Amino acid sequence: MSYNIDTWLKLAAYTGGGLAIGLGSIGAAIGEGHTAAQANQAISRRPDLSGEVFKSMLVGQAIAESAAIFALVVSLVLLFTTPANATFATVWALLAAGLSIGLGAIGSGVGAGFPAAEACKGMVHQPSVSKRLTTNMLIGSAVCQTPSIFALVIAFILLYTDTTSSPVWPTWAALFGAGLSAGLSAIGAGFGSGLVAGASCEGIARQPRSAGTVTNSMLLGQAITQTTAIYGLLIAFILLFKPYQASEAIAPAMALIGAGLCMGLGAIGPGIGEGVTAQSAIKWIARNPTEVGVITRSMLVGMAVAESTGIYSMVIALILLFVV
Amino acid sequence: MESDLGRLQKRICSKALIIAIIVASAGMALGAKPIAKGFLLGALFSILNFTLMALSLPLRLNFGPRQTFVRCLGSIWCRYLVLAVPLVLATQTAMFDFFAAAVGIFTVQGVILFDQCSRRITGNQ
Repeated sequence: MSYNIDTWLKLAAYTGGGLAIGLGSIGAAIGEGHTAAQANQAISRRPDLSGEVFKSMLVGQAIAESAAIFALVVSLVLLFTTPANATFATVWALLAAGLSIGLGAIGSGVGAGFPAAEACKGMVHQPSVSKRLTTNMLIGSAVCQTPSIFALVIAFILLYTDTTSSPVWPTWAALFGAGLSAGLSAIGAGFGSGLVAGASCEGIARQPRSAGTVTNSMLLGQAITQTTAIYGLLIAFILLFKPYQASEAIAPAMALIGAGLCMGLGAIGPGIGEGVTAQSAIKWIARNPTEVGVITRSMLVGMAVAESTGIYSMVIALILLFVV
Repeated sequence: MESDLGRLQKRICSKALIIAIIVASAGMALGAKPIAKGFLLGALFSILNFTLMALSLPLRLNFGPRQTFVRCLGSIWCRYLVLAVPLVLATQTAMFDFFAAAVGIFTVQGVILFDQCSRRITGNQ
């Protein structure tokens, strides 16, 4: 039995579409489930405030599932459009597009559930700040979606990239590596950002007077937490746009996949670790807003150290790209 | 409780509908019919998805974490099917622009964020 290019394209598109939608729904479901579980606790504590809790849960979940909807869009593009001027490298591009958004939506989906859950819990403790909590929760949840947007951008570039002028070997590996780099690196950043946003909602509920300081610290913490996703995006861009010499040797192709894997996997830990650091800092800033300067410095040093392993991964990825 | 949730749902959905109509009218006036129709289609299904989400909220509460996760996963998959309709329609007919439909299905999310941010900026909490 022989297979032509169209058969391989269909195989890659259907597999990529399945991976996108399947992986993409995991994070959102965990995040929404966590929010609903905390809403249960909040309602059982103050049944008279169930209306406020329901409202917060609904808008929080609507934002939290944005990453899953990105995955749906990519999945449907994969299933219902046929790429023009396809080569065998396009087959890998389609598979990588599905993997990129599928993996990239996991962290953001789970992460966005934390602020929604803490907002539901917090508003039964401090009903007077429920609107402020909802606003902070929505800002935090929206920022959590950024890593999945990076993955979406790479997925779309992969879907519409023209591979006719590039050699199939090793371009296929570069495209696949780009998808892995963007998708995997978004997991830790999305999850970590959610931890930060969750801590800020808890902090505002505990100490409403510190709301302004806590929201600003949340945005700073989330921005730094997401830097490893930016490294992943950078490596993905280099993999996508670097010109390659035609070579049927296995080693250069494996080096390109290795670069994507190295950066993607290497960004998961720092993303979560930095999120844990910022989560703790914001928790204590809310309790002691007068010491915001010292706590922020300590947070930044801790995050910088946690980030170093992500930088090591990026260095190795760059060596794999330009030296090996 | 229901009235609170109903009021929120009505407020967000009506704003999303107004935005969809304005964008679609502007698109029609500028002669970009497929874009206008695609956006309107996506926005309508975004509103339907949000309404289904609100209606299914009670089904996801009062269970243990594991069962809540399973119910949330089921809810997401069901609503995936709803959101897939405008996108599939846009891929199958030239009447609707696919990218406009894809942007349209985020109308409710956009309205929620814009609504909250504008309230914060104007201090109307």
